[in-house]
Amino acid sequence: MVADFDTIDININVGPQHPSTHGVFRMVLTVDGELVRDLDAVVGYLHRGAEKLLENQDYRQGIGIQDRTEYLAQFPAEQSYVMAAEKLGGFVVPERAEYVRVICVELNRIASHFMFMGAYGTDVGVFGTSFIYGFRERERVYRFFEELTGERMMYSYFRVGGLAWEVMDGFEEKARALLQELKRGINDINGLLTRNEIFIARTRHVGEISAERAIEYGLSGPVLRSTGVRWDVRKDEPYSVYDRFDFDVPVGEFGDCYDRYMVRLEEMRQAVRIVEQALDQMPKSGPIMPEKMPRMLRLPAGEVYVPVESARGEYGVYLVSRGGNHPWRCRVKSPCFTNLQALREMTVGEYVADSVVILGSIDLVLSEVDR
Amino acid sequence: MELSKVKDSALAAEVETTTAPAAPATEPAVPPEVAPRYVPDFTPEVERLRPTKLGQGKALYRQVLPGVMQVPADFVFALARKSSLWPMTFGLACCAIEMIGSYMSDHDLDRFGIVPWPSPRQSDVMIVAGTVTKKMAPAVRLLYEQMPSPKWVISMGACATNGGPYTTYDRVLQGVDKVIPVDVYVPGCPPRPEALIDGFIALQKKIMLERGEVGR
Amino acid sequence: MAEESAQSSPSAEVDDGVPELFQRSFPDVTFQAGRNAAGQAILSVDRKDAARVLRGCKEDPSLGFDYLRNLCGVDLEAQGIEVVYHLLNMRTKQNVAIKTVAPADDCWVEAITPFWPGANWHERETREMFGVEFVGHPDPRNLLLDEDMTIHPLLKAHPLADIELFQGVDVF
Repeated sequence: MVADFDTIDININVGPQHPSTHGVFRMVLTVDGELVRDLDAVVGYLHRGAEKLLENQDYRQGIGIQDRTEYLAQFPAEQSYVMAAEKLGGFVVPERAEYVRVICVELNRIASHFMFMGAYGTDVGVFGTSFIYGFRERERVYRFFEELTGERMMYSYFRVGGLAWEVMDGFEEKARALLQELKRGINDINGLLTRNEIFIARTRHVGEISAERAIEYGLSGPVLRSTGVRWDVRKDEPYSVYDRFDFDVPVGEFGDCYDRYMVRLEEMRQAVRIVEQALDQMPKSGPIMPEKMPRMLRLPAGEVYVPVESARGEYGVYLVSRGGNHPWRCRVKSPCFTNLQALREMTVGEYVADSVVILGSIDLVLSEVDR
Repeated sequence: MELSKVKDSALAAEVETTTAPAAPATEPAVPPEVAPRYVPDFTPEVERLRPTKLGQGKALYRQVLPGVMQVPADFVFALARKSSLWPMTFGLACCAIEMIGSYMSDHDLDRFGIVPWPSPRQSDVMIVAGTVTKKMAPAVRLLYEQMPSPKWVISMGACATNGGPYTTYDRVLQGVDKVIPVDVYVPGCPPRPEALIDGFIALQKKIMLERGEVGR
Repeated sequence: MAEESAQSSPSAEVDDGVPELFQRSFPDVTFQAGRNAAGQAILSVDRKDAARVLRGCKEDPSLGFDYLRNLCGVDLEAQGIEVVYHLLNMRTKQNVAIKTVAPADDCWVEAITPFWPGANWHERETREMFGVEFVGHPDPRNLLLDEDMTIHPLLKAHPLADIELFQGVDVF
């Protein structure tokens, strides 16, 4: 009898200011009752022109812009930019600097995933408890990095060729103590969410995407690995010193939101393994910059595309240089931009309440999407 | 023994008959409750415990009710407003992460009465945390206009103050004070949680200073 | 046409056979081959062949470059706008960059979104940032800019904004 009624689909605007949209993201849902028929994602509310500014700044100022482009996991963004400049200039990074870089990147990955756990729990309905769990651990990482670089969030610690300055005294002991606390924090979050009945009911078989469609859309990171495709830039196209570590790449099965959560949880544990091995293998002393680095960096003409495994996927920097001390074109290929294209396919056919859960599982950082 | 009220009932008669014979049989003329064996004597300390003299010129109500404080109404309103500022959650960019970090357990803002509230219709303060682009500016203005008075704005971070590191890109609004009036500017990129708490304390001082003005 | 941007760098030249692979699959298309600083192959094609080559990359099993890593534009001022496609073959782990140039006065290339859904937003963004028209794109709206703006910010001719000295606004 309900089918005899003449109904129309209504548009719901989940506007740029919304407690669940992880920033200024707008989606216009066309719903039929509670079922989503169509989704139109509107981005660009945080378009700050990082690419244009990078063309007008030299290779050291650009590191600060890269920090702010990915504001939750800054070190992979810095690393891809300095690696691109190093490949163009032919600089070789000393080994000790590479190990410190890997330690910083992996600790940053753990901190970023803690933020994901916090925000995702809030989206699913925990509303605040998971945020406090996540931020307790993030504050520990902030304190470690504040001792190392002087800044809580926007580090600007990597330089073309190595690091900005030597690590602090007691770097290794403090890092090991931090790892113990982070392991306990991972177990806490695991206990809160993984076998929680309501969490499973809200995320299992929600927002599924198949592996073939994921490759067609060009997804990367935990979203791609949750569909079953084992592609990790650290393992398959190793850069820096990642080929010396023994770690696993977690892969999901169904491509739904629960798998993405589990992949990220396991990635945190693997990151702890990598940091422990890096601390063991790190040379106790050595240079952190190659000798005779020029003060004002001028790179030869050329181009390169350097992908790096960030916390959200494949963060790539395409650097075109025509000589001179700033790039001709620096394109930042951000994982969230590509991953967000698949949001429509994942959400159409689900309920309105699930659309927020699916959006949260992509782990959105809007300054990356809008640059 | 007030038996005048119960004289009419039978119970009164029973009470009267039971107590009446006891009195003249065994006791002397004075009933036992009138002559106590021990009476405490407080006379030495009556002078010591006399209350202090109140100063000259105090209002009568203070002489009569010494524990009462009289303040102007705007003082009370300002005190109430500054002690429970509810910010609307309006994190735009990187400063939002530090703002969320301020709400969390390490630098708790709840102890100041500051509770993040998603709806603009029921919040007092808008913390503009992050870069405002020209695409987002109409939404910022609309949300500000939806907030009921009295309302304040804290501009957190360099981007909301004057555009920050992105000021030379023409899609970026060079400071949120081009579309809405701002009360407190918190510098930093991003400002530490302690800096944001300092901004809130400055806002509380401002609320007390401008109490009683028209429109507040 | 592509000499300036296809220079090989002092780093080691790796011969992964990618240009030969492409020449075998598309015998009638002229490729100009180069190497970038990481040793990966750069193939420049004419814009009338670009969509066909990319379709073959995705659907031809002998090529198998089905993962689109990056699609962007580069402003070569006088010569026009260059559109770059970075592709990956996940099985053989080979990378290739395919480039095509749209001249300044007749600025269009063919869209690959109809057969490659992963290029949708990249092409929309490149269109609004550089002014290149993607012929055949199903949804050519602005992505990052406002809906009705027609500026192209990433062109070299588009200036940076001056820092405005007048701050503040009239209250009430």
